[in-house]
Amino acid sequence: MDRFKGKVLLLTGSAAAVRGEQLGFGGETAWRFLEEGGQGVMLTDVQDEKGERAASQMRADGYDARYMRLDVTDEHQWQAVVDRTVSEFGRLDGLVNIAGAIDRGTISETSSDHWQRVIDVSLRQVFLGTRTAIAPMRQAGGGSIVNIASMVGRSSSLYAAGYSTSRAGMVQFAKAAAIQLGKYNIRVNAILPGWTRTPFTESIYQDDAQRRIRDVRVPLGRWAEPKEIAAAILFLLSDDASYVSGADLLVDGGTTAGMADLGLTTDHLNV
Amino acid sequence: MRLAGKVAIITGAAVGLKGELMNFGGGAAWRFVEQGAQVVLTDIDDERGELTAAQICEAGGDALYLHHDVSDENDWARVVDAALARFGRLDVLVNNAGGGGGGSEITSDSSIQAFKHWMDVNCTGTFLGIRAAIDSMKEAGGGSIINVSSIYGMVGGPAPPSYLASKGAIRNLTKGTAVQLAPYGIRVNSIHPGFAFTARTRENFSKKEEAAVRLARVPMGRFATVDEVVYGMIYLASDESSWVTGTELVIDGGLTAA
Repeated sequence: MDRFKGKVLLLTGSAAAVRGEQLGFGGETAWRFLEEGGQGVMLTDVQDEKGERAASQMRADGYDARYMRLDVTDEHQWQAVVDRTVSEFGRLDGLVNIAGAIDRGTISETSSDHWQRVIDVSLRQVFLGTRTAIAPMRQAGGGSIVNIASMVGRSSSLYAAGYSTSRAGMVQFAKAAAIQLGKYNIRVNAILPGWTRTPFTESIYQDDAQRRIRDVRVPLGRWAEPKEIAAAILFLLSDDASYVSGADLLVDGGTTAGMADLGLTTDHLNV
Repeated sequence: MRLAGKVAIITGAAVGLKGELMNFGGGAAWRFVEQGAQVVLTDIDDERGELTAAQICEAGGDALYLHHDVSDENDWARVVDAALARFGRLDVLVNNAGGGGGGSEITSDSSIQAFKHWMDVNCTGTFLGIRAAIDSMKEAGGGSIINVSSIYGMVGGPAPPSYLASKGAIRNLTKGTAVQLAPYGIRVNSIHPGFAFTARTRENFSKKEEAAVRLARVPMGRFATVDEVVYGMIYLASDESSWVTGTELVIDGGLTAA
């Protein structure tokens, strides 16, 4: 497939892109984007060593890829990354906002500083990223921005109140931006992934009790592979989704569609 | 090819004549074949359905047309049997047939008959389709069912009450059956198109005022093409969406985001 011929993609939170090691959403997306004809990929993260290795691995495979450090809450770094993307690759067509920070305690245990950091990583990211990407995307005749929110941005989780709240904000921001940017042919959408095995969730996956609580709630009976989330990201980035904007696409194996774990008979409802 | 080796039934697929403006079902039949699927087109418009299927075959595709009233249980049994007899398996079902009538405003004398009729076609038809597909999809080791709802299954607007009610019902019928059929690897999702320029809407959407009043609400400022909805179906029909079930894919140019 040649879905991304001549297109340039920028991803946050995408250092986990080294083949042979565990890949994240961004890594799977970046590789497939290149394999399907993409002209260039800019990986960004705060894990510099990993990110540099990933980009040089892509170059060694004959693709055009760069890595830059990006604290997604920093306005100036965003400008530098977008400027460099355009100067290196000539344009910007796609932006995928993946970076996240998580709070693992109860509300009582969470400091206000940590809360703020979690909110900022999600929400300053999508605001600053979108704002910075508008000019080059307009120049390219349009673009596609995909915010990787989370299933818990819709139905929250027992812990991670800040993460859930901030990811819900990413969904709503996608809708707001979609409305404003439609006239420039810039599409903005959100994906709400369910439980997926990535470096971000590996510690939960390795904890038997934590994994099992989740397993029973997934109708499809397993966690997602990152490539299954990447397939949805690539759909939204591609022209296949040319009329999809302001949408929130759940990719969660049915988890939030209903209560698969109840296993109760509902015969009593037949009154 | 994203649907290679898959067999699909697409209901409401008669309007797909080459070179003419199509509806979603007819457009889907062509694109599905292009992606390697074998397709069964069904409809009640036999003349155009036969012709569409013949044109697809002429172009090198593998297609079969069958008369099909989706609100009729026996028709469903016949269609699924014929699909299995011809192609040997069933992987994808697109419950696309549907419509609405009886006036797009509720009044004290809104037609009860029209309401019941379109609930039958849209909602019962979708239920019967899911029901008819289960056994053969289990046998195939899984499958993908795509229910065509509408933005009017999510928000209100000037549409017939039967359309609003049935499209809303399809939305949660999808989620419930997704949860129940997931253990068999059968995925069930809904698609929610916004305003699309199709054979069905052409007359209305060609009127300046009708178009303007709608487009003023669409952030992307234009109507969807048939293909733009069909590509959403292809994503959900293919293995690319292997972890997508019970979800709603909105294809509306940003309309309901506002």
